[in-house]
Amino acid sequence: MLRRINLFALSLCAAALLAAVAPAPRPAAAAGDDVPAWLKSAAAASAPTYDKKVKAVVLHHERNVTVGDDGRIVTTTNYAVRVLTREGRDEARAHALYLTGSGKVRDLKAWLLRPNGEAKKYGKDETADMALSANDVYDEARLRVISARDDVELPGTVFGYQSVTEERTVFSQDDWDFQDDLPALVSRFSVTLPAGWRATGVVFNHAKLEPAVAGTTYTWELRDLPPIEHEVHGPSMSSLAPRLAVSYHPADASRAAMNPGFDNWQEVSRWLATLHDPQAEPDDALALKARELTANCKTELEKIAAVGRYAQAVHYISIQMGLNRGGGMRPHAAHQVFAKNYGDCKDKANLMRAMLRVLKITAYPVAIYSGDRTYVREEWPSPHQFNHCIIAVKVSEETQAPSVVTHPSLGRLLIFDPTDPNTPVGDLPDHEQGSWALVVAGGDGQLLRMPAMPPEANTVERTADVTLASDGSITAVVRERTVGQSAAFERGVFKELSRGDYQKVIERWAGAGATGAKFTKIEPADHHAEGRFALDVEFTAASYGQSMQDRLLVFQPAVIGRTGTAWLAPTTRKHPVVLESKSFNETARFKLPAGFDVDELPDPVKIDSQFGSYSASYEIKDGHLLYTRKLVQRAATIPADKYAEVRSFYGRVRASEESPVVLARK
Amino acid sequence: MKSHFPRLRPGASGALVCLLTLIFCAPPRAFGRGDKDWKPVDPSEIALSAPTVEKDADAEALFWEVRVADEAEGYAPRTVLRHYVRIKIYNERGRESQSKVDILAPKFGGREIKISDIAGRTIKPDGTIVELKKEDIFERTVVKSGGLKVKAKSFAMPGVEPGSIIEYRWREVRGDSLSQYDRLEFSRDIPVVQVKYYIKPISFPGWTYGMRAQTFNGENTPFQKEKDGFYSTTMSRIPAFREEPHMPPAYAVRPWMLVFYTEDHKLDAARFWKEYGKRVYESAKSEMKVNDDVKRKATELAGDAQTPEQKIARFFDFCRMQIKNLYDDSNGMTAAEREKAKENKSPADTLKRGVGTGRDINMLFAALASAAGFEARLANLGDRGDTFFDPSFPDDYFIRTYDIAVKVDGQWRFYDPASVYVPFGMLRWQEEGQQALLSDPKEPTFIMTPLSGPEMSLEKRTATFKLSEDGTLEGDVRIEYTGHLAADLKEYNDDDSPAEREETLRNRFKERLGGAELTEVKVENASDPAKPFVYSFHVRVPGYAQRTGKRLFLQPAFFQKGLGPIFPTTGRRHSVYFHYPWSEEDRVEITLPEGFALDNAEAPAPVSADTLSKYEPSAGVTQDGRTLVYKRKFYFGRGGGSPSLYPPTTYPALKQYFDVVHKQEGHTIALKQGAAVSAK
Repeated sequence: MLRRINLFALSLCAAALLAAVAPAPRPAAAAGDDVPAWLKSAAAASAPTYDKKVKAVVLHHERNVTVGDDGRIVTTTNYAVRVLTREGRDEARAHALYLTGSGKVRDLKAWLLRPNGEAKKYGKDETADMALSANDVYDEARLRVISARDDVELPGTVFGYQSVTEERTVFSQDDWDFQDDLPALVSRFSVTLPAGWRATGVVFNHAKLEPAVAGTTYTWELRDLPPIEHEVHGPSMSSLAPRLAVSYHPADASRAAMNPGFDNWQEVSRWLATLHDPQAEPDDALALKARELTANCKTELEKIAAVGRYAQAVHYISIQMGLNRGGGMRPHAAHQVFAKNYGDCKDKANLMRAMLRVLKITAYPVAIYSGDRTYVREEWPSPHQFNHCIIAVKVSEETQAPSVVTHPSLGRLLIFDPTDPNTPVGDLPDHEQGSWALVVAGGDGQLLRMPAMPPEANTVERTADVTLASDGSITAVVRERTVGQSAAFERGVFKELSRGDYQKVIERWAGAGATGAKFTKIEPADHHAEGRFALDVEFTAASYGQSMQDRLLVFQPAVIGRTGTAWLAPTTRKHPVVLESKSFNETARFKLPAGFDVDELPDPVKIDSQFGSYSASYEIKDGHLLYTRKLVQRAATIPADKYAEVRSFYGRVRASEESPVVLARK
Repeated sequence: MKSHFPRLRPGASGALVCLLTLIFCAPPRAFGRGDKDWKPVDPSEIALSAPTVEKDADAEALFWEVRVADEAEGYAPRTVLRHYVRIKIYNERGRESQSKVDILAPKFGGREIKISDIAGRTIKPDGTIVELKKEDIFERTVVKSGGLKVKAKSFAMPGVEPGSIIEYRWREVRGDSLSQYDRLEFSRDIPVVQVKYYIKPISFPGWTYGMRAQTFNGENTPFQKEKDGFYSTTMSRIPAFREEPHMPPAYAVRPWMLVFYTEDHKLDAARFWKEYGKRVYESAKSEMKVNDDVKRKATELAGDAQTPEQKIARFFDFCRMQIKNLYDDSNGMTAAEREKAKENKSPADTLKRGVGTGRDINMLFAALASAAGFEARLANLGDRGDTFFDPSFPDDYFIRTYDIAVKVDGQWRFYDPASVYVPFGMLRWQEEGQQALLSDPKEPTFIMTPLSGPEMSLEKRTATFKLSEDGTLEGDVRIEYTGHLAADLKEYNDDDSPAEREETLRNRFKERLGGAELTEVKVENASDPAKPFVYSFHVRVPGYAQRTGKRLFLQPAFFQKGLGPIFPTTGRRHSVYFHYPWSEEDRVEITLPEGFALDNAEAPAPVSADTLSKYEPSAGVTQDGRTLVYKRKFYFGRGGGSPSLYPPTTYPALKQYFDVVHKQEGHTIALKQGAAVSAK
């Protein structure tokens, strides 16, 4: 369901490919007066002094879109960037995206202005043309790229480009990122419409911004945008960088070659339904399979789960064609996907929908944004806000599951993502939880908040029975049971790796705190349908505890799975901390060696905060140490000024998990 | 290395180098074998429920056949390959990894690969067959740029499920070339029951060269003559190729075959190397030519040097530091400047321009040495970053890197001033411990290049800390690297900005000491050819020591805290391979918090593995009991002139040694509030 292109992903893709295919450097072609005035002017601009990590500053970024009433759109982009560091050399890159069949790059040229004033021009001979996605079996999205990376001299080289693209599309909406992580001095989007048309726009992550209007030209502009630093556990760039969403409204919608803009989500739903609904017709073979899969199912949920499991097992293959005609949003016919046993997200959702239809269960496609639960905004009804398709299954009261939500008119809907092979029916991938998504149900369609699971639906339960010998060696029997997204993660690792590689991963994980551990048992068990994953591990480790002059024996009772805190290394923070919902419980029972008394136990810990709680306790009974630790982390977005609290919380968790028990010889 | 060394095709007279541009007179001929049918599928293949080569395999190639034919089409040589693979899918992982296929067809310069005649089908577990339809095969241009164009034909096999067999075949035409030094693989990412190569060398009147094939790391059958001029060889039960940490280069472990054309007289290795070494000597002689400018420079550089070694060191330093290596990414030159640089025709040109290729720099060094009266030769050697060279294979394919050998005090020594970060007396690690062919007008000989000892590549770390009562550790750190360690770090960092270099260091610490706060970070000599690579910084680590009611538990090995064991897993398929010997020296001083003293403290124990490696830690307190001084010395790889390569059978012992060392690194010292000072 690709239409919007993530510029960050695009830059990574292009950078990687360009490294391999950049044309051989040529002597600088004297650019002289050929350098456009806008670029000269941008290059003369002075920028503030930024942090030394800021690799480049965008001096000028402007997109001018001219819309024809025949559906033809001509886009001119002017871009100028000043490179500040060696890493910033990658920013000296021009790109123009186009779709084969419905678009073309009319012109792409670039200039490099060296600090000594010399200018170099780049054109066709330095241009590479490449597929946007190297992994898809077919994708009509392509890029023209020019890289001047190897010509950049530091400090102060300015690189600029101008691209002119042309496309025919049925879409009358567009969007514009005013910046990415780089600072920008001038960022401008303008659209010129046919007579009588009008444009509306909404800006996200920024105060309200009115366009300057001259005739039928609308211009939105921001200046002096500071850099945006990426932080671990921080909000996505789409939540931080100002971005614009624009809709064009034809004078006479009924005669326009383009679809009219969408005024509300029902209209988007109606339009998407025209793409989806005809494709969900089952044929005999598909119907037979649906009945065969559910022959032994007793309940509605069992039937949905059986069909869901089948759809999950369909091989994910992406073939993207006819994108500017909505092809990226129209699934292949369900019977074709069934016959080939492969398809993409919308194909899987559609196949499942067709199978459920055979079973008299109603289901709807759901358009969602995968990978960023804050991306979709309610204020802009548009199919362009989505990059993924899942499914909502209408269920009765008999079906109880955490992923059921109530739609005002459609009633109870069980949300499920058949593209995620590891999350079973009843659960939802964490990156989709809590996000806005559009239930595509004709006039009943509505933007709906996806369910968010509580911590207890995403749990790690662990028990450890450990025998500690007087020489410090241990024999450990560990049983771990995971539920929800924790189970999905474990399942993913288990399914993705060969048996040998999986064993290595577990050995690394369990052996991280017990050097030289020798494993006698590593036994995973996947209970996909129930959303559980079990792992039993048994090992011995010599010298786990450390003997001190044969008088003291010191060991850490948190043998495995200590909480990672590397992301808390920075002492300050610019953006909020985003935490996922999860919980963890461990009970470890240590049989202590004969001839020793407990000399010191760590203090019990109990920490409570707005985003979670942690407790650890120690109890000595009948020659055994009973150690328990429990973490509950609630989904939360914590403001940056509260970062110290988060840091302190996890710092105390880490300190507690590293605290040793001291035994003394009697 | 096993050498079948078959000669696949007799020939007559001619010159191989002319081949690629030769105009052929042979008439064009269709290659097609008229084979539109698939090989019969045995019911036992459909019934297979478990892999036969590796028990945990997700999928397995039941057979993989490639017919390689060198031929002439009209006036141009070409290689035509017909691939055919049949794969059994055992589980969903196997389906995921095998049922989407991308076949790349690059075109670069005059060379083009064309893919055609793709066919495929899926045989389901119940025996039904689903054909791959033509409309489900997509052609796309992955990238097009200048003279390069990469096309891909992509398809997904239809109807695949666990238990299915998929098979597909295609025709590949490599235009404008023959199979000259082509590497033919026997292993894939999944195990293979049988690989069969059919090879057909080119033949035409006047052609003297025969095709030869050399197999590495595997046992294939002797070549059999087949119909239509093909020769076949098979290899059976080939495990999947998988990478492991600290493993030898892939081509030193995975089975493969080198095919190439050569004349008969290359068969005798001794004779081949003798003649080859003579030829190298003759061709290099002119490249080392000494003129008056070179002589003057040699005299000037030698100056008051007292010993031959001092003179050579001066020539080396001059070439390494004063002559820019054109292809060194940190030389400060732009792409355009590189493009503009003129070709050096002699050492005098290189001297005059102050810039040259790696070969120019090495030749200038040789010329300076010659001008000062030393004997200097070009020495060819293998690159053990690619694979391991064995002189019993009589071909120069594996020894295309070179150094300069200079006779100093009656001994041949090897130098490579073109490698900017490699200090005097060392070579790139890829070239150390290698058989080098010393060119000579009469008797070229192989000489083993020295392997630098662990002391040459040293990581020296010092830290002065203060420990607080709450377990916070704070102080200053300095880390210096020399030898190969420094060269590796400089190569990694030299193209980064200061901010990025700092970030690299921070990330290293973040991974092992979460919560460590680094300030005043300095990265020194990141692109300096001569000086050690240095990190220095101030660090504060809250909660470094664990506090209990009356004690603090402190790991004095600050530089090792948080590091995992080097070999955490029990199984091992490939040999363990360390690129070079290295050593470490640490000194950590920790001022203890007021009122605390050692409690039943013991020093960590030393460990050694004969002379190969030694770990020597020591810990003690100053007389006033206020400062803990921890010292640690470690080296690995002393003794023996060959690179550090340890077969899988030695893995348990090696792992155990490193585990014991790791355990000692984690040694903890208890500090007790109000305790008397006691240490052992």
